[in-house]
Amino acid sequence: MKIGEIMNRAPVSVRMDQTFGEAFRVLVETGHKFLPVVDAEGVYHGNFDLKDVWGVLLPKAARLDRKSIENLAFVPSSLEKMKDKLADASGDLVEKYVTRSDAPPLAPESPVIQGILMLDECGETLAVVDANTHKLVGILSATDVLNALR
Amino acid sequence: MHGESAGHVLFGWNAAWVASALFGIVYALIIAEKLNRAILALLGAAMLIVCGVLNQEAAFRGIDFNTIGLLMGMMLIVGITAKSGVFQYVAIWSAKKVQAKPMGVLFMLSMVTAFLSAMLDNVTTVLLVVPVTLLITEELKVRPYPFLLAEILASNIGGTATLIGDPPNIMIGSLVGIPFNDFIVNLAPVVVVVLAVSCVPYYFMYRKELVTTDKARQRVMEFDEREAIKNHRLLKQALFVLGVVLIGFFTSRLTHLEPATVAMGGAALLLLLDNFSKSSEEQGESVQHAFAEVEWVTLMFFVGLFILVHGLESSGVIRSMAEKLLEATQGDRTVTVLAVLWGSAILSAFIDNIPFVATMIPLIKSMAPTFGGEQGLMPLWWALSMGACLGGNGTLIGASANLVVAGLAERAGHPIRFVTYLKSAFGLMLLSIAISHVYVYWRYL
Repeated sequence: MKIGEIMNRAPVSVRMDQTFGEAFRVLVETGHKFLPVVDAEGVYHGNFDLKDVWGVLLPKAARLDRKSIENLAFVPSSLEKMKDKLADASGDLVEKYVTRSDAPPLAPESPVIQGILMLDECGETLAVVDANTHKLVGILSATDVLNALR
Repeated sequence: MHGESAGHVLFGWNAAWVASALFGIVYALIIAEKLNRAILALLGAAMLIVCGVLNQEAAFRGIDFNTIGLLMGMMLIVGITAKSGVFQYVAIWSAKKVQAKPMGVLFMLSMVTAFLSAMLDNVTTVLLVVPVTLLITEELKVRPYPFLLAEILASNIGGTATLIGDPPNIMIGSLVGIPFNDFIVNLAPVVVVVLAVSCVPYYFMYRKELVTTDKARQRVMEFDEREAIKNHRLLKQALFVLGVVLIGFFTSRLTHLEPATVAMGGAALLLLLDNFSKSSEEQGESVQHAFAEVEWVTLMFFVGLFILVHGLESSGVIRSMAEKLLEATQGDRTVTVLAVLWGSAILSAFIDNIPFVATMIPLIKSMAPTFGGEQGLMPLWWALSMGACLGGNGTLIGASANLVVAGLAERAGHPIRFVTYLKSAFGLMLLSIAISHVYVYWRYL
């Protein structure tokens, strides 16, 4: 079985030139943890996900490496302060936050077992792109695989 | 040769030439930074044995297990202690003591860094202090560079004060057999002066830049340092063991215990206390985690390096280098001491001070007959320590701690450039060596 047969062919995505605020709203409204990022031609460039939101909320110093700050209980925080941080970042372009997954994007022709391997290694949802044009053609989530196996 | 070779050197080559060539190649490759220094040192050591300059038994005799044990023990103790959150507590507490005023925070964090560096190794110290510094400067909305510069300098200055503060001192203390207290008595006074004097230029360099709002200061003042302590039980155990270890170092002359015994004993005691009430599965995981904190790459680098230097020593290279140095200084102790001080400082600013000091130790030892025995060499040891430790401040590549800070700063979006650092720090390094020059001259010559 090929990934193209079980993937979601109408994925919600955001464009590079949209703002952090718009992308954040899409995450909240759809309940997704991950959004593929495309340019005006639909070419896939990477992902915008919850880690980008956490990155805005957390101090930079807390995300340096495993030996940096593991405990932030001493920093006073309130929902209002966090909302202020999100408001400060809301005008930034998604381009600034887009991250490329370590794994190469999947192609619709790839076998499902390859998709399962990537899901096991890289997370719950993966972008599927046309091998020639690199345009986003779908996403493969753990739910898609489980539904196919039901 | 002194009966330490494998019997004959490969192809009948001259042992001194082979040892020098291998050492030179390894040294050049370390400077080039294309290959990991531990790989290079171990490979060089293996080649030394394969070529027949040393046999395996002699090579192992060259490894100073006192240095290795001391480093490993302290790495274990610090790795476990850091989990308690005590170092973050101290950094936040110190920033709040000066009402989070940026210039005050800079001075206080410098003092904390220097103090911790005297007790721990410099890399560990900056790994603990820099993230909190970046957090505080982010809240204060001030550029972190002045703080990071001050902390780099303070870590190398503070590390000069004690036997355990910086690897050159660990090597000198261990290989020469100088007790812990002697380092403090001879080096701490000049370190205090250097640290205090270094703070003056910061004030003039950064006082206009380091301004913030009352609101930003208030945010830092709201930090609750007590919340930084993650594990109160571990904190008590770690402070107890650190206290025992320090007492062990201070009383080493009476107890005749070597620093490695004290540090490894302390590490074992802390591991015991931390794991006493845990199940065997939890113990396995916890001990595994504690040993993973040991920087094995650094330790293996030391192992290879000791063998390489022993090759130079046993083939007579060190002796002839010492003779050349004495020829240049005409056997004048004052000139030799000051040449060691300034030469070590300038070289340590550009090359790794660990292999440099490892080479200098047997070289200085072999000068004992010229300067009236071991006691006559003491000013040279202090000059070597000050030069090698403080010289590391001169450039961004001068010491491991500098590079670690630069790496953390870059990941936080505040890269430190080589030339920017050189412009700020090289003059301050020369100032610290000038102060050391006066101190050494006044006290020993």
